[in-house]
Amino acid sequence: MNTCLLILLVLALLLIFCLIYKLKHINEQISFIKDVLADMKAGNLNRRILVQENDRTKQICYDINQIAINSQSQLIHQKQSEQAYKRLMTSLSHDVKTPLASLVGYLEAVESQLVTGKEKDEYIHVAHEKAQYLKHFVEHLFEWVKLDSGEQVFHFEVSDLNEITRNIMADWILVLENSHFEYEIDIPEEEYPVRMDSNAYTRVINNLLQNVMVHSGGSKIILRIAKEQQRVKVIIADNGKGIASDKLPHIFERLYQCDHSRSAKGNGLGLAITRELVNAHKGTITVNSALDRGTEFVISFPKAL
Amino acid sequence: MNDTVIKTKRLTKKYGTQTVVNKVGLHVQKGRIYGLLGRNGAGKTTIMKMILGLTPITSGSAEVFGREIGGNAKRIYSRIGAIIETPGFYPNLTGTENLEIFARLRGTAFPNAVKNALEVVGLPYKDKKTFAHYSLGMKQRLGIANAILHDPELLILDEPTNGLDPIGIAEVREFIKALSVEHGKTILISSHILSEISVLADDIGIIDQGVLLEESSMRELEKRNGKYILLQVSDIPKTILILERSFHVKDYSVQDEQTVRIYDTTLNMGEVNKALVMEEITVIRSGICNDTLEDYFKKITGGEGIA
Amino acid sequence: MLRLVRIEFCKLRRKNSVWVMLVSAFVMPFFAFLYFGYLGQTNIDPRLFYKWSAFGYTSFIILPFILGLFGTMLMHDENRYDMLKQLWIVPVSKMGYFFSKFFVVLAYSICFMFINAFATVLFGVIPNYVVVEWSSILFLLERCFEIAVLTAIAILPILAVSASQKGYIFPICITLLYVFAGFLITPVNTWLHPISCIMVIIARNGAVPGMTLPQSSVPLELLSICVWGIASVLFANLRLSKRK
Repeated sequence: MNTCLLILLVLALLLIFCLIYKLKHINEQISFIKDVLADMKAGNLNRRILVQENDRTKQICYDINQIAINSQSQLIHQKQSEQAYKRLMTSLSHDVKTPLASLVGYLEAVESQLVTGKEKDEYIHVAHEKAQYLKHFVEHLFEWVKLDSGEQVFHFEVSDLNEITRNIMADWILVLENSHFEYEIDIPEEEYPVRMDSNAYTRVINNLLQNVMVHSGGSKIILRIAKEQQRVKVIIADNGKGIASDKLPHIFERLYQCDHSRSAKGNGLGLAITRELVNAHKGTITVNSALDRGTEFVISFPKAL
Repeated sequence: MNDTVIKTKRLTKKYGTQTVVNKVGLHVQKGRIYGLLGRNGAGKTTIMKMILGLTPITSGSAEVFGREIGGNAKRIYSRIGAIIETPGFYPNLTGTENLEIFARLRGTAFPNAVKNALEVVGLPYKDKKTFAHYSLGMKQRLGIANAILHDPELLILDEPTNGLDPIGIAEVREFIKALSVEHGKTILISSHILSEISVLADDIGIIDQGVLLEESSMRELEKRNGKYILLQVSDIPKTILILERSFHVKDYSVQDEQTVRIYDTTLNMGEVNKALVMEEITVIRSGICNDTLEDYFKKITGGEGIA
Repeated sequence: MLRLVRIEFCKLRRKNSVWVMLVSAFVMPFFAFLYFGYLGQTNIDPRLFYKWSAFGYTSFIILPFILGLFGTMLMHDENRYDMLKQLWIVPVSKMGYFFSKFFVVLAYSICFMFINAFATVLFGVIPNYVVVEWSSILFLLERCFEIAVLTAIAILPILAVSASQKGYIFPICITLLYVFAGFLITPVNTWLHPISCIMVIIARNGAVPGMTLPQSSVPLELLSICVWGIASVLFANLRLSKRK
């Protein structure tokens, strides 16, 4: 009888200790949540409440976190569109101003009769070229802005990457031959299904090939498609002058130009657009280059299942 | 609200008589990527370890979220994700199991945190492969997944692209950038590769032999970067016409109503000025800027360069 | 704390050596079976059989050694792969870490001794060496439990040493040294070494026949184990906070 009582007493004490411990734990949790909420209220939406798998407060905390995550992403989205707008403004002010100022210079010279005859014709010709360049630039700029702000709509469907690439290359072969480029195209016979928007993909390949023709200064283009475990790789390489290693990481940045040439050649948007397009496919684009030996662009897409 | 997330004051670490970190004062701002650039052995890892309280500080102080790590460790650590050196995991467990252990230790911020983190770094969820069979790149990715598992505000990443292949490096960089831009995280990243820091960081600190040589924002540095001639004139279109026709300058850009940058620094400015004056254009200012980031780093580190 | 211990068990997945080591619980019961089979005796005093199979070399050498190995294994992964710093920034408290390891060792030790008890009964009853008798089996289980808990505590110094080391060779050498020191020192002095203390506690009141031990009192032995245990916890604490 006595031992029974003793055991009961011990059990009761244990139970009380357990409950006190539990209570303390919950109190701690609540004071922690209070702290985090105060921090969030002060504007720190990155703060999270961490909970254990079996905590009573789990669902509450997850919900609070979700609210914070949602409002944070909204806030950031807003900020981003603001920044995109700002970037657009700076682009307009810098990169439109340059050709525009020069265009005005030529036209003013013609207008004020500073030049005559053949020279005048040449001035008008140059002015026309500049106007054309400006037109292209503005077109590209809007395309990029559309991509950057996520307004571009893609129509993704699973199709055979090899087939589409073959079709694109068929159009390019004539162009390459006309501009005396050697080419080496290696597209496997089997089907590589990839989820993609064929128009966007065509733009990607066109942009890269265009880029090689205009900027590489080489005489040969290699296009190769290879399969890895989960991904398909498209490699476009040339034997041109290459890109210096300090410039390499920047080439996909908007308006970055290796040679700063704001003349008729490029506008610094091609590769930026290309990268945005590849990203939209959940792909990656990387570049390897060695000076005087050539450049290699590698696009990699996840394989469709 | 205090916007400096990490602040160190005269942070010093000595091993015996050797001073590894010498009076470093870092300031990592909220929502920005701070790149710590320095050669291997410059003291980057030691600084990060001291900030995290993983190694005793010889003198000075390191504050994270306005508090020193120590007393209130639990609450501060839960707001930080970190990889220091090459991260280790249990070799007999799969990546998912490893992360589940850390998720249970720390607690999670939302359901399916492990799956989510693995997806972000591009590793398969519930894979059968144990950590012992992981490649270096996969290990590094798992380390990053562990660092972001609890959705922390501050990430401290020590050479996160170490051991990755070029595609992996590009992916990780992209995703670090996205963490900062799209999620507003504060990131302290160290690297010995100049291009990596210059492509990622908003702010930069240059460490050489334990001394913080320079701390400034990338934008500030970029202003000093570049080889060009700055020309401030009264009439831009006319100036450009002269530059194009008489001097065959093709490489230039118009900055504002009065300023033009010429990227061909071999141009004879005396001749240009003369020609401009002849056409009754007032030259307000003309100057040459002759510096690249790399030159700049060479100058700072005493001629040896970093990249 | 419970959480830490449960996580420790998760870390043991796919470690086959852990299971293999449990097999060594069968070693002494098997030898006892052979030995008494060789003598051709039946109806042996169950305590004599138990002394052979459970209380003798099992608790003297095999269990401490296995626990030493197990403890080193537990600590080794985290030490070798430099995981500690990842754990500290979770954060896991240093003592929480050390005690969670200890509880795993304790649980393992209890498992080991119960398997040993089971094997003892099996090898005793099946060839009809001993008669099934609930009181003697209960006695066996109770003593096995005591051995398990006490040995786990006695192994704390090994755990502390392996927590303070990166390698595993040194802790294993220490384990060997520790176990054999215990074995050798017992006839001379019983309260100096935790393992010999355990023997005294197990054989108290002459419960195990034929165990010749120098006279000593149980409280003194318990005190000795406690002192060793506390000393090693302090040592581990010191070393863990130093090596970060």
